[in-house]
Amino acid sequence: MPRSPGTRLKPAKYIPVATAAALLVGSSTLFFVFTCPWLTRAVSPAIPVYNGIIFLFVLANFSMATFMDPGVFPRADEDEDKEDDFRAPLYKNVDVRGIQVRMKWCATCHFYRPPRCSHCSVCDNCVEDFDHHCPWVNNCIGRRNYRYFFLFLLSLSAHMVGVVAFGLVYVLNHSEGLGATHTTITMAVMCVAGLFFIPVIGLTGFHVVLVTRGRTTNEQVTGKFRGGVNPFTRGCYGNVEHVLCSPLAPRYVVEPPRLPLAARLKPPFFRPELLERAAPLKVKLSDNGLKSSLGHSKSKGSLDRLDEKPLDLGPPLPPKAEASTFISDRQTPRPTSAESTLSVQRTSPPTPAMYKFRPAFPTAPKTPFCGPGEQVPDSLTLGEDSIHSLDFASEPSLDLPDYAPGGLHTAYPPSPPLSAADTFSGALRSLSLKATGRRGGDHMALQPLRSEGAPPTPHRSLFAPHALPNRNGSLSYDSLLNPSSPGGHACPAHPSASMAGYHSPYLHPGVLGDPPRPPPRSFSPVLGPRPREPSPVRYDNLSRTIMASIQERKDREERERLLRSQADSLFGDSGVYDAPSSYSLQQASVLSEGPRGPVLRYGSRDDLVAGPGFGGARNPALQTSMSSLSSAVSRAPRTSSSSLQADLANNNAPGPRPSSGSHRSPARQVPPSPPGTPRSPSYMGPKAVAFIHTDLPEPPPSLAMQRDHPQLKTPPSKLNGQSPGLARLGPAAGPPGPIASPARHTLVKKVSGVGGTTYEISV
Amino acid sequence: MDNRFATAFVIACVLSLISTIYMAASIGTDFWYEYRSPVQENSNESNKNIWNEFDSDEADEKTYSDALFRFNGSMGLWRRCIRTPRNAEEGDSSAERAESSDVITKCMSLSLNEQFMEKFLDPGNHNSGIDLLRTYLWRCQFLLPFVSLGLMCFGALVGLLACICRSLYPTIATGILHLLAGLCTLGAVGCYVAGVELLHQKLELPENVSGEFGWSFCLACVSAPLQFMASALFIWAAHTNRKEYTLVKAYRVA
Repeated sequence: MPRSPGTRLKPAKYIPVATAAALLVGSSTLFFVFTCPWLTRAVSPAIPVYNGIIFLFVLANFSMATFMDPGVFPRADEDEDKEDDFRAPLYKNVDVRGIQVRMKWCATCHFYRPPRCSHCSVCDNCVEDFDHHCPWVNNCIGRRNYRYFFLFLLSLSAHMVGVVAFGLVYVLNHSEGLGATHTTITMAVMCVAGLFFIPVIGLTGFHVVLVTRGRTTNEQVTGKFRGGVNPFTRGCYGNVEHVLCSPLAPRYVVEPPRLPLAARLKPPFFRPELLERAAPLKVKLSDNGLKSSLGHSKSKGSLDRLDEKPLDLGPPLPPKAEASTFISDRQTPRPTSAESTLSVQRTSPPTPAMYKFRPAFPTAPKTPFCGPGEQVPDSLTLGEDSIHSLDFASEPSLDLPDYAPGGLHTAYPPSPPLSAADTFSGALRSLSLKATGRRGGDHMALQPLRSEGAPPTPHRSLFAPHALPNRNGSLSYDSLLNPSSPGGHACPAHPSASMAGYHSPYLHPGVLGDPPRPPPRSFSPVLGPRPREPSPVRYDNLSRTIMASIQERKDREERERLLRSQADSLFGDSGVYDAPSSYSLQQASVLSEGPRGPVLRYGSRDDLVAGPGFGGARNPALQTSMSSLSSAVSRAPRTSSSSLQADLANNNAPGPRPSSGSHRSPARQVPPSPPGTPRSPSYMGPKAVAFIHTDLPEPPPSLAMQRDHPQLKTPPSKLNGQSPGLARLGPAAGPPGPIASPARHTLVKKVSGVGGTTYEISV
Repeated sequence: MDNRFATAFVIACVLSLISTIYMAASIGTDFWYEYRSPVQENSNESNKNIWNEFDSDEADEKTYSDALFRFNGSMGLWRRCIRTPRNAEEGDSSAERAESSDVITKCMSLSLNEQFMEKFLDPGNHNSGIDLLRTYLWRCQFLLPFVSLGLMCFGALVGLLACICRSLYPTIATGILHLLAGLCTLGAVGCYVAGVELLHQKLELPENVSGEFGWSFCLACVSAPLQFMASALFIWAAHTNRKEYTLVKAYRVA
């Protein structure tokens, strides 16, 4: 209406109502002004009072008849309309007090009109007990406002009689002064009133007859009950009572649609938030698919990897069946869990992060070897949450126990343990190659500095083992901060981490390194059972990532959101490399045993740490990330201002990072939970022991690292880069092989985790 | 649904038009208060002096009030008139008395200076103090009707622009302006009644002279409720139409 009144406002449509209002108000007021004063003095003061009261009554009934809803029936909804409109017969008969009354199908409103209901072409609505469309009030006269229309006619007739009569009295008494103002105006008013008196009296009489007979004008004019009996009559007195004294009929149009409108206002605000949170999770899975496919393409060159291809294709099939069983389970979720999910979703939007974290607690102790694999099923469940958002809470608890035995069952029979080890090593090699290549390209300036540090005096070589883990810690720190932290916060933290690793040899942290040595020795007996567990867990991770990639590929085809995909790729970085980053963080925590004091001092920074920690879905990851961040913060003041500025510029270059940080911010609101503390010593022990063993073969890995950096700069060098990997396997084959191999795998993961972020940024 | 808002808008326009006409008529005519005097003796010398002094510039409030009281005077916002049969002016001619029965009217317009001149505590005595109450009542009763008429014209202009822009929402401003106009009209009527009462307290009416409010005053009284009714209809049409538009917008967002 407000946008297009010109098209809807037909001036001719409003002329009758304007004329009626003007004549009614104008004539009455002129009568009161020019005629009543003399009547008050000469005849009686009661005359203006009587006429005034009747005039007010006329105005009130006129207003009610004009602005009241006549009893419009709302049109049928689309759902109601689909079936009836095609197979609806034109007429349907119903019995009213034993008499057949015909109900007609209304093509405009899409329903059978109730008895006495008719469609008004002017108002374009079906009106209950339709009498007629009155142009003088510009409204339909139906069941709800017929009473006021009838009273309007009666009071108007009385008013006109009064005006004409008293005007005549005035004129007769002032016949000698016809030229005076008062007499002239009084005569004009009498003419107008007399002109409309006959039609109004006639109309009033007509409606009196209709009311006494219990009919409507529409029925009378169309001759509906001409031959038969009117089933709606209640007798003369009953009809009059029904018109004047019956309770007001309810209104059908406005009240029902308002309530659902109020309810519907909420969903639009919740949906985009959920979509924004679900999208990055899906893209994480899609990134897994991209990397796995690239790995396969690179492995085509080697015969061993060709053999591995059929093994990789095998595992994804059984998980699909499991997914179908999960869907069936979700269809019948627990009522309590469903209610809790609904209530939580409505009250707090950041529930997905909380629900990721909660089910992890009970499942982890039951299957300790599934710990590293928790992240992948969480991402799968999150991806599926978009489809069944209401069942978010129940999915993780149901998925974790089901995935574990299925994965193990499919992992062992198809491949012997040796082939499994080969598949893990192959995948890790491909990831490490990508990571090292990207990392080298991005940090061209830093490499010469590190190479200069490599050939120092034997005094510095004694601290070389500290340098390596420091670099790894900084790399993992970068991977954590880049995707998750906002731009403003990332600037001071990121440069401090990288520069801390570089400056550590000059600072001579030998004193700091000594304290962590004795505690790991106490955990040495734990080595026995640990090396057996990791191998099947890693294999499960791979199979799950493959399945996730397949699902995400389907999602990509369905949705084409270029802009969001670019932003989500950054989210994918953090998601994909949460596992390796957590491993590196755990190992870095060993070094940070010394600066545990400053951890307490930097309590405010711990809140920032909580965000990425929860993203990893691991409590030990939380603690390790907190410790690493605290150590970096403690080292921050030692770095030079020029290096800080350079790092700030580098960090500011990627624009989409702050947007990704903002998306991550609601997850940070979740505080770290205390139950995570008891797990940390069990996880830290084997890592610390592994670190001690890595200290012994110091010179060979450093030499290998130096050779890898320049060779990986060029694409053909990647093939040559594989040979250093084989060289790494050499020392693993030695007597400390079984113990050293997992340690070196963790080292490789660290590098790959960091490189992955740069790889995705380039994509 | 839209039809009713348009109908309300149309009826509000009609009421506004009627009240504007009434307000203009009441301002333009001079029958706000009328006096009815008995027939005076023609030979009375003092009456002739009063008649002659009525249209002189030196007449003060007491002088012209006496004339109004004795010769069927009527007062308007900016003009006062007295009328008497023609015989009074002709003198003692008995022959012409029977022939002519025409009424002679003499009117005197008040200049702006006289409109805003101070009123004295004693109408005839210039040395008495200034009556601030009567002074401001007189000024308000003169100004408020014009303010009311101006507000209604401005409201009509806003309504016209609203129609040009094809939107009923600006008519809320029109409704508010009409509400203010109605208040101004009521204020003017109140000031006039108070002023007349105070004047009659100072200058008592002679015997056999009665005063009453004229039809111009009645028109002003009637136009005030018409303005209030128009205001209510304008605001109702604009407000309800706006509310429904908001709901439709919310529905589209959903």
